Amino acid sequence: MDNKKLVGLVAEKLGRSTEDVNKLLEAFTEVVSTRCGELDSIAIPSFGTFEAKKKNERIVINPGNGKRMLVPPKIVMSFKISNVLKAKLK
Amino acid sequence: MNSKITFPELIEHVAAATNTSKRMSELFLKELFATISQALINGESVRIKNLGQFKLEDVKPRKSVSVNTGEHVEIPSHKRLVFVPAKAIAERINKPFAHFGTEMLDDNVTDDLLKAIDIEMTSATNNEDDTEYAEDDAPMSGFIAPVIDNINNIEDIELPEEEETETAEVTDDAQDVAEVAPQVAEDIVPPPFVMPAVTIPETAPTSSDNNSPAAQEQTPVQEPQQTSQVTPPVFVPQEEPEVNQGPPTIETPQQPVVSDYSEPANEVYQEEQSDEYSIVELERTKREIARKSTLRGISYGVIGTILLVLLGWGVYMLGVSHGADKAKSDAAQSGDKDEASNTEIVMRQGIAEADSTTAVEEQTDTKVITDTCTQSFFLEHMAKKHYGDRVFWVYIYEENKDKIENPNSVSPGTIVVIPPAEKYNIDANNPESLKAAYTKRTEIYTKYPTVESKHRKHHRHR
Repeated sequence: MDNKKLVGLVAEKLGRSTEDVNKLLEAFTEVVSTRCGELDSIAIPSFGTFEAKKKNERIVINPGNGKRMLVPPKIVMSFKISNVLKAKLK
Repeated sequence: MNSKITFPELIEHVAAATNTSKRMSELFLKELFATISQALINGESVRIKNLGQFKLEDVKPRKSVSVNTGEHVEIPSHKRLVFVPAKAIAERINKPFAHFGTEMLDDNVTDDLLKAIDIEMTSATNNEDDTEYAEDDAPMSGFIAPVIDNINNIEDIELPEEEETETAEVTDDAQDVAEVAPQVAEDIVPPPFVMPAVTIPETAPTSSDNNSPAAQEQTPVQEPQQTSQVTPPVFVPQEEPEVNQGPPTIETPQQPVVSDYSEPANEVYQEEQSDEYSIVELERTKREIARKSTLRGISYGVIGTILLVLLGWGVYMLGVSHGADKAKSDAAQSGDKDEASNTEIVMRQGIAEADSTTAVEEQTDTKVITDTCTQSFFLEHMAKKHYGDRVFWVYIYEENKDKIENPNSVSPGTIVVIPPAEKYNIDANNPESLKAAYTKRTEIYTKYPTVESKHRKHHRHR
């Protein structure tokens, strides 16, 4: 289901226009972006948690030529599913 | 940072951002996730623009062992939910580290060397933080380590204070790191720098003074240690001027350009062929490190002795004055926390107590204790330190209302007066006093709401 379809479905259920729903969805995405950028996590009940994790730098070895490389540190976004949803998916 | 945003908070944020009612926002969010969940249950993947894609992956059945009985069981095939963040959001979240790239390591860089650098840097940052905050592996140490890994740029960091690499100043290294920390958090962090292993400790004794005679002394020490990849460098007596003029592609480290220090590191690294330049930079950085470590040793020694003297004076004053209890707890607490700010406190306490012995003990006005906020040491910590419980920050705030606009964000460097405990009847052991503080806190938070204060409603009070 792509973005358009999702927005359409939600708009229908809510009885609002797609523009409104789009705006709301944008706001939601924005909140997630800013919060995860500050390494906070966002918990949605019965759905899951959006979190940002910091990965430290590490040394990796290219097995082919034995050369060592230093992978830089980074922050990645991840999603941890809730048990409720996990059960539903089984 | 590292806090959990609950659903109600999320609702408020979305409502605020779109100027809709909270109810609308709540309905929307509930409906949104219900729809997504339903689609996933039906086996459909869902893509949200600028957020990411929720995909379902098939998991093959696999053999395993039951935890309780120990017999072999098969985990049946099922579906697993995978979230792939969209490029936009992933880039945005990784912004602090955006300038990093994967770097090749020379054979000479040993793991021990890299570890040593990390340890040195994390121990420097540990001094800054209040012991209240757990020093776990998350942001702090990681943020600092890569910056200082780029040894080349320690000069860049120090220069804004010194403006000259030659003068040996006994600056408090904890402060140096404090300078770095806010910069790191905001600015672009440079890629880690790699240093061929000419061991640092050996250069320490020879580089304690930074004049060219010392540099000349170094050459005989350095040359035998050079690895084969390094051509005998032209460096010594001209070392300083050479670096100053430098190759045009490398920004001279003299410039205190903090936000640009990704460039020099990249350039230096890529200029692998021109060994002269990289050696020169290395020499400077090694000497910087050596000097820094000796400075650090000296400064710690100085601070240590000052602290001891003041503590002794404080204890002596204790014997003289009658207002023993408060002073005792303060003096005891000052022993185990941040050195720099503690010397201040103890000093002031010592001076204050000396004053009070001449006056009547009941006059609490003469005891003026103040404290300075830093990046990690603010009202709640002060309350904990002076009164024994964090919640009493409310009284510190009361006392300094004119200085503090918003208790949730007190700017670092703000000097606040710590009122004596008797003034507001502060007693960490008295439940009445605690209660009063809690009510006061909710009052203040209704005026200045924070994410955390709303959070508190869902948590038990300590």
